[in-house]
Amino acid sequence: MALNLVSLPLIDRPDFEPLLEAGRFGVWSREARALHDQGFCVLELDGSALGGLPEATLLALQPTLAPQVEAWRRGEGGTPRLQDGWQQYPEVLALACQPLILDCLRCLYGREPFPFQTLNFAVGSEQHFHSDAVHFHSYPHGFMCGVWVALEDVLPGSGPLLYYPGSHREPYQSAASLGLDPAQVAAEPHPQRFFEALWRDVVERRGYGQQQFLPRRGQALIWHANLLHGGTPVADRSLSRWSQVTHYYFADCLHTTPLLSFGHDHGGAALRNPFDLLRGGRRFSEAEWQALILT
Amino acid sequence: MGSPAWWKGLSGRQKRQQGQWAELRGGLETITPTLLSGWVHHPSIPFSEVRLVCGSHLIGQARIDGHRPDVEAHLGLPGPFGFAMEIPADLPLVEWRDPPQFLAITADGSSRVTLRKLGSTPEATSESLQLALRPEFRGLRGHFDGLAPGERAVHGWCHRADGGLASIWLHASGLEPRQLDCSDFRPGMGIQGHPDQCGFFLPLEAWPEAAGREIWASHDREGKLRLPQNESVAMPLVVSEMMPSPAREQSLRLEPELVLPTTVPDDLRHHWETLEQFRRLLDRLEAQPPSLSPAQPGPPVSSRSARFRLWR
Repeated sequence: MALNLVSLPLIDRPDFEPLLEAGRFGVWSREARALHDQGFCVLELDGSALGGLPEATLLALQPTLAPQVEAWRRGEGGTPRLQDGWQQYPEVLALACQPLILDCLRCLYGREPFPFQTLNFAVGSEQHFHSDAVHFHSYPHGFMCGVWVALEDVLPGSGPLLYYPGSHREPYQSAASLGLDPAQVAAEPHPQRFFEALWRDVVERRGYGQQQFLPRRGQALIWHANLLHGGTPVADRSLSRWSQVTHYYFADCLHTTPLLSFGHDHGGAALRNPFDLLRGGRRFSEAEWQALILT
Repeated sequence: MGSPAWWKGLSGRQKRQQGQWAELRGGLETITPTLLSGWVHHPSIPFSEVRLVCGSHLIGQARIDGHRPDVEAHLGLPGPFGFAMEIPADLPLVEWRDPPQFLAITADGSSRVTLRKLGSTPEATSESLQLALRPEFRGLRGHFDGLAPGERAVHGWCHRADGGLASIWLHASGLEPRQLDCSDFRPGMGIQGHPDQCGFFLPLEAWPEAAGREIWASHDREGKLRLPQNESVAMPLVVSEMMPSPAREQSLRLEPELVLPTTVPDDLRHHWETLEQFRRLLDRLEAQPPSLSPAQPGPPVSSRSARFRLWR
């Protein structure tokens, strides 16, 4: 295990254009261009490429989430979702570890990717738009991304995914950049709220246009760590919107939780030792973690 | 004359390497928590980049591509021999267990050599690098300017990347160091991307026992992690009329605070406070004892700070 705290993701490097021209991204050149310019790209994965996994995943999860969905439709309870369903459902794990997705990420970022978290939604999340990079990030910056896979065709009115192309180039934010201290964050049940006014302001001030994702089953959207994205309101609660979001980190980085990363006087960046779904264990063994750093 | 014992013990390959490295010139000139810089040249090995590593971990990297006229003149050769590696202020505050090494490497990776600080040993260089990487010093940037214009004080500046207050240790050889907060107003710092309130300043009369001694500033109490300075600095000899006047120093630092009406807009308040601090800086400079040298002019008759007061 050797950390490389120097190089940036290929899609974020200042010499991205020469890399693209030189063919560095191979069959993923179109995706590289989109991720670099827009902060997202769409993978056109037909059913055979994913081996029927999206449908199998939906069928596996349906019984578990059905009671939550019914309650949500009655206006009771929150959005039906399952975090880290890979622990119970092989389909979820298989989708997170899909070789084609891993190959694409490896090529776009220039490092070995590994999934560390899954989220499955049965309906539209209606989340306020946000940058994932305040929840989990990396050092060097940018080695984190989300992959959203449609487990069924997404219809208007179901609360499609929304995003603001180009917003990934805004500065990365953290509790430190907002001048927050640990007591403030600890007192807020949903610390993401500290950032939401700033994001709304950025979108308005910079004039980012909102786009929505209405994919077919099996299509996937990769978003940059810093792309502002969320869920549109669900207009029709009879509609489902089955999806899986997998968050990926990359090798040889330090991994951080920016929401809990304060100034130097409060310990600086909050480091985390993420779970590596490919290995079935923490990214760093306890011995490696202790040998590497003493925070 | 026979070869030393250590030389006889080397293999042929090791001897060739030793001979090769004898032609290496240069090394690290500056080791600070935010910048590692220097130069390197070898007549037959085209080093292209420098790397900072701790064990197997790559912490920093920079190209050897800086033109240094002074080095070119020293070597009698043209070429880009300089390097400057920034240590990012947001590098997580980890404490590396393995000792850091600073390497020069060729483009193909076939040759690499550990650089040391100029005039220093490998062990001392490693110790300085380790200090520079310590979490408590992360993001500190500063400079020891030496004697202030008029030579009645020593001064410099230092600040943290996150805007937090920094302090430095001022050393005089053979004396206990003095800690100074870096919160004085420094005109023009903001234009260069630094905080305006990052200066430190010590009137000569406040440290008479340092007269005639070499002085320097450092981030650490032990004086190992020095602030960059352009040249060595010796405290001028102080004579009786410049002897300490703690009361005067105290009075300079305890001027009444500027009180603004609460209705003043924030931007105007900031501007106002900045000017006020500038005025106090001028006051302090003007309050220093007159120069002993006849070639140097005394303090101005009409006070500049008085004009600021009038404006205010």
